[in-house]
Amino acid sequence: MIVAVFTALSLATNYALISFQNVKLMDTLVFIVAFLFGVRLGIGVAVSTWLVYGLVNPNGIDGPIILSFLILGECFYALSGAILSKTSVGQDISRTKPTDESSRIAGKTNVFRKVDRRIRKLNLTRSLVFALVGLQATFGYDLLTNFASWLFLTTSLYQAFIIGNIVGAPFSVAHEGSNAIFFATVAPAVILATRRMGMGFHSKGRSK
Amino acid sequence: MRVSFVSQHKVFFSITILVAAIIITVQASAYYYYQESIGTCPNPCGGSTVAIETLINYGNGTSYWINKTDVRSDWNFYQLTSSIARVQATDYPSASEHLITGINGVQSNGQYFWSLWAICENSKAWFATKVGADAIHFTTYHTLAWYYQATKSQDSSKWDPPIPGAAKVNIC
Repeated sequence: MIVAVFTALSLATNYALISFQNVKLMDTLVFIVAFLFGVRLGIGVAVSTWLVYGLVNPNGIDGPIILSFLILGECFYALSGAILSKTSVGQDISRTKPTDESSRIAGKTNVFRKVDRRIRKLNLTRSLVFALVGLQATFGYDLLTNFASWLFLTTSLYQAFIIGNIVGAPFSVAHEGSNAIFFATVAPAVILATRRMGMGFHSKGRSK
Repeated sequence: MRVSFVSQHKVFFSITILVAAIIITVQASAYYYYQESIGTCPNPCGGSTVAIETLINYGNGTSYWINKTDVRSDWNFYQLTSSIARVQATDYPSASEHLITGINGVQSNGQYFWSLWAICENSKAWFATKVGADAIHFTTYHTLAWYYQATKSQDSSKWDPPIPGAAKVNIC
């Protein structure tokens, strides 16, 4: 169910953003699923989305080898989401108080005002953490897929890696910049909202 | 709390920020190198003209050679194509590229698309260019072609050259 919903969401946003090359919400969604529900579901969304998007695409279809690399690269987001959720940093930044409680206590006394300020400050740190992790996962994805694009066009693997990543640099910059923004904004918002609703594979025992 | 949160996880933040800085440096260098490599134009760059031969092969047995001797040397192949044919293209400003979707009313359709070829001066053979028309300047290539063909693969080594039976190389 979760895989189906998030795959549909990824595909819908991919097609909506078709004219913005390398600017996609899909990567953030795969990361969110893995962060909240575990690596298997994250990989499920990554594979399902690419199997459709790679084969039904107005910009051209992907061959089986390129598609394999794209799927493998997309799994980086699932892995990074799952790994981050298991670290102490990931557990700390996904802790939240229920919305109604926060609004009730905020601003009433000095103590609660301080708590409210601290929560707001933590939001920036939380965004920074997600942006940094997103940037690194995207960099890994770009290195791999740029390399794959030139795998059969060059005489050595080294040449494919260097040429692919220089020729692909404009696309990588757009991809990494947009993903850093999406990871900093969309990921924390969705993860906190989901936690507040008591959902998520890892939520039990953490949100104290 | 932010300070204490960051200080609680000093190792995590140190490593991730350091890696992010390295990534930004690497990408900025790659992007700069790319811009430098496509920004080159013949010497003298401004004002001079060059002769360029362009083949447009519609893939149905019809093809035309267009020879122009007064092509501005600071143009790229997209500009030249636009001047000799009706071009439909999608603009990607972030990449400074156009995706050619149609030439003279013949549109990309399913697996049919316009492939871009050039004569490699070293091997005197056709090869499918690795970059788009915007990135092709007339320093190195003087004979180019658009070939409308169907392909099931993104691997250009499996594509047919724009002139049937002509010599083809995968790398120039």
